[in-house]
Amino acid sequence: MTGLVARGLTVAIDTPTGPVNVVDAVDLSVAAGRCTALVGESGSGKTLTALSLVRLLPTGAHISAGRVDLHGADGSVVDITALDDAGLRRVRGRRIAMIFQEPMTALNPLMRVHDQVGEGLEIHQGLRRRDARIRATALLERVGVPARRASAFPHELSGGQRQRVMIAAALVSDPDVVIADEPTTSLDVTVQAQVLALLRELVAERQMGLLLITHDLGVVAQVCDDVTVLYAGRVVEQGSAVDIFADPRHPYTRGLLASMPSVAPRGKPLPAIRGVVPPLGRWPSGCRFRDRCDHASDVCSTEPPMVQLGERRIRCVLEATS
Amino acid sequence: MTATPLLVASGLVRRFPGPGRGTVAVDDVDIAIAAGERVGLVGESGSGKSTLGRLLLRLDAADAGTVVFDGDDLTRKSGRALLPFRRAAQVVFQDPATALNPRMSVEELVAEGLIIHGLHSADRGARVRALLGEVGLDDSVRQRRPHELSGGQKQRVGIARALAVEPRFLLLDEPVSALDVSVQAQIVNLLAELSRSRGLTILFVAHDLHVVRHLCDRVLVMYRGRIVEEGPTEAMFATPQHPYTQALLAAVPVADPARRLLAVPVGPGNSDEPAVGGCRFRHRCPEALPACDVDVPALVTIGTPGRRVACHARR
Repeated sequence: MTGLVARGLTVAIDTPTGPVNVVDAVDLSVAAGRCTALVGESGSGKTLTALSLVRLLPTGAHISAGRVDLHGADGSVVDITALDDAGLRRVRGRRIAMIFQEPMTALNPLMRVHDQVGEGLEIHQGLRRRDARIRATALLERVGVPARRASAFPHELSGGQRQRVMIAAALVSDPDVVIADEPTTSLDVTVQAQVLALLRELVAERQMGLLLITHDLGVVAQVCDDVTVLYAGRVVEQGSAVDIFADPRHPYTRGLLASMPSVAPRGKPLPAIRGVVPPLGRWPSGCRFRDRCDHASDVCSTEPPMVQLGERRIRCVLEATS
Repeated sequence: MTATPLLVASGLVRRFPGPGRGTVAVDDVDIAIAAGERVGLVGESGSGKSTLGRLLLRLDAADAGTVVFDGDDLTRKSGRALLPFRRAAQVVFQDPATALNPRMSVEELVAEGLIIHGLHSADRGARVRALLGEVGLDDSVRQRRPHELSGGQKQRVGIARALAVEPRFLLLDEPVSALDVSVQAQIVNLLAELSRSRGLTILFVAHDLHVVRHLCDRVLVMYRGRIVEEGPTEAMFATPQHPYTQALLAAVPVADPARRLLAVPVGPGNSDEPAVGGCRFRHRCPEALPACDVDVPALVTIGTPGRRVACHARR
């Protein structure tokens, strides 16, 4: 398989009371030509998981266990957790690219957009400024930014166009994997639909792997082939999008789906998950969801098993006993 | 509308200075909200929906038009003369993290309105406790400060603060947009419950149509400063009329991989387009007619009473 495979990925944050595993033994694959969703609410560890895949963790957080293998089309395998700085530079932006949530802060406000997109071409492929601009403009047109806007500054563009610029910048080196962190969260729904359609086209056309990080299950259903649901730093459910939406197994996945206002019937209270996402590290022992779970029993205070059912993985004792 | 309107605004206009002729954020909007009615106001960012909410609450002054609340014309009033209205009409903002003073305790935040309006001076503590209970907060949070609360708890404090002075009208400006999905449902349920138990009149400003569908009796759709469609919630969701409303509804991602949106029904939004003259949606509209370049479509009743749409293609 070409793409990215994380095994037992664990990220620890140093706290006054010792290290806390905010990402705990996560297994994750992003295969070429497919879109994988990493779903979770704030505090689930989804962004830290994504940042750890390219070793961009903030100070105080570090990978404490696990490996992240990047499989090339030529059969080569690189463990990203073992790379030195020079090795990381050969991977970041070149073989794995990132698209961030808020394009207004991720883009340089003083640089014209064709130069921001072209910068990657100058650095990774040694193009001269003029040639980089021409290639950048073509890429911008591909993602739906008209050529006459290529010399604009970010503030002159709409939110949707800015996000398209981010996408173009991510594509410059024809990466194997693109990681997009909430790429449409700040966009209006009609624009969101257009950007999602574009991402889906690009995955098919370029056979890249897309890891889409989001809290919106609607977005997942629209774009993704595979789904990983995170809760409190742990994978609670993993499987194909078709299977998970048809038959969510983990009580948290079920709760998330049921509480969507577009799914629930009108005129009745929304089926809410009680309680709140616990703050980092202040999780209950055993199953981290048990305080909020309607099916919790005494057995949930012990570590729940990861149950494998065909392609599906569910971290819940209910699946082990049924 | 049969019931007496509690809030009536006519011909509201709000311009903001900017390049060229500036921006008309709210452009000749009429709105009437009956007592006890729960109205949703939806539109994308930049549609003017939050500005319209602020004009209705006199948090911002209109350049033209009038706002009448319970028969009282507020248009020329200011300062202390607005105090009775300030008590009767309250607001809950989108981001509770910035709407709450970080240096005040929950108790002080909830009691602030009571102090300003001179209410419950004898039993203020008990009143605050009752309010916290009503919004589903445990008494133990009373001495906490906003940073010690979760997003959902903060928004509950924001709601308790608004309810403290027993308002008749509540403006909810994107009250659940900043919350986690699992908590969002709790707050939507709380708002539905409170509006019933207290008989509140509500204007719910949101970009999420489905939240509005759960909470509101009637929906107004705004596009670039104008109301383009309005009607009862069920009818609007079943048979949206304006091409923009249709696009909005179609674009909401459905949680079903078997029902993927293949094509987006409208063109991309483009900030280059001139906003003046004709229908403001025409550049993105799949059904634009020659008339759309010339005349601004008026909001006219179509079909059943209360169902209005501003579109030349729907005449």
